[in-house]
Amino acid sequence: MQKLKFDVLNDPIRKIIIGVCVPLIIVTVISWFTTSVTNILYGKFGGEYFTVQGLIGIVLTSITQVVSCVISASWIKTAIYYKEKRSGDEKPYLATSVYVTVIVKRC
Amino acid sequence: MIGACLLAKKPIFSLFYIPENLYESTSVFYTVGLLSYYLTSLGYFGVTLVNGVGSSTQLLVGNLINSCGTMAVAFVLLGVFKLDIIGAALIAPVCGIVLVVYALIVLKKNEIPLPKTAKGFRLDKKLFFAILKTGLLMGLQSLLCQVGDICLSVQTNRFVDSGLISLSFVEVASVGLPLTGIMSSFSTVCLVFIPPNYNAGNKKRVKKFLWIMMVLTVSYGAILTLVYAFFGKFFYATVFDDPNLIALGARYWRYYSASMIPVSVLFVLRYYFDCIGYNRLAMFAGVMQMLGALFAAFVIVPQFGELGRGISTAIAFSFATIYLVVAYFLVEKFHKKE
Repeated sequence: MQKLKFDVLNDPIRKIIIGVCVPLIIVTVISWFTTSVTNILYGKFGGEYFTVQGLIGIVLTSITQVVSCVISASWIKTAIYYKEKRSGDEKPYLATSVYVTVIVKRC
Repeated sequence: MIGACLLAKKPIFSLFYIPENLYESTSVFYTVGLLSYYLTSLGYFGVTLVNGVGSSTQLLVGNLINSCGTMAVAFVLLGVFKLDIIGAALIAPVCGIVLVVYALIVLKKNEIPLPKTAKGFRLDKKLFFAILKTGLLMGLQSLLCQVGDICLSVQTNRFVDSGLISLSFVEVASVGLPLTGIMSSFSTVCLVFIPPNYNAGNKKRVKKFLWIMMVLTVSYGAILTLVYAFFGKFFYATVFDDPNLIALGARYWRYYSASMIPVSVLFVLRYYFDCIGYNRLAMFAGVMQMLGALFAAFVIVPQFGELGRGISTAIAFSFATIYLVVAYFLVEKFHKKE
């Protein structure tokens, strides 16, 4: 098991914010560029994509949003349980969170 | 759920006032999108797994695959194979497959076995139901937000070509740029930091962290307000050639800019309540957002048309943000009394 780089309980807040946010911010900035290019492709070759997305896209978005919430809940609860039990082995908790997410996806 | 949505296609389309000339392309997009949903959501799950268990480099690569992959797949399906609207609907599921493969590679590399291969794996029932309960509460919150958005979408479509809202406005309003993505990274750091610290009793540390995050996210929200207010014309000129669409898009962004400050507060405070176990409080933020969206859908949009649709996001988020700020101070007061 790879050792985690952050000790969220003791490391300085700044270190944790930078450590978690910087890679995600880099990715977001890159995704501004890639999304712009994708938008151009949609606009030129996607037919009526933008209009159709505007008319009915919300139905598809609603379904995926619910699943995303279960994924977030998995991480919150797994972190709390790991902290409470401190067994040194987080695998069973991770495995459980994988299970519950997959099951909800199937419903 | 997918089967039900497919069977109910006709009533859903009539509910959403789909114009006859767009019925066929909307039908193709809707059907392909629903049938491939499982792959798309598995992709999101793959990204979350990598975010949770991967190193910084693995996290960076996973998210790069996510964003660059979409562009590459769009290029192949739309630019090379010219699949038109079917190609547009297939982009997300194809990326989903790629992300799941990457997540499996990361799990294997980090020696994390999947449940079926984990030696002596025993399902932790307590955790299982805790996740289910929290997840469904959060899901309900999200659904409540979506009810408002669905009504907004229906009302917008209803007034299309009535003189209040044009179909071109619907088109420009659906063009997105992930500028709020940076706020999502602030939410992610809340997920990483708050639950373990709060449960370890480090309340002061959590409070300090929260204020730092609020300053960061509101400052970024202020920058975005300016970007949306003044750079719409430049952005839409990269997507469309038609000057009317560009002008309409710039106008939409100007209206939309009003939502950035409330959104920025919401991104941090809602996750804060979820992370400290006040899921019901966070859920009611969803209720408030829904009420705001319903107010915008049934009062503002019919009155003000495109302007109403443009500021509807700001109205919905302001309802939720004001509630969360009040809730935060009430909870603080309650804790002090304790």
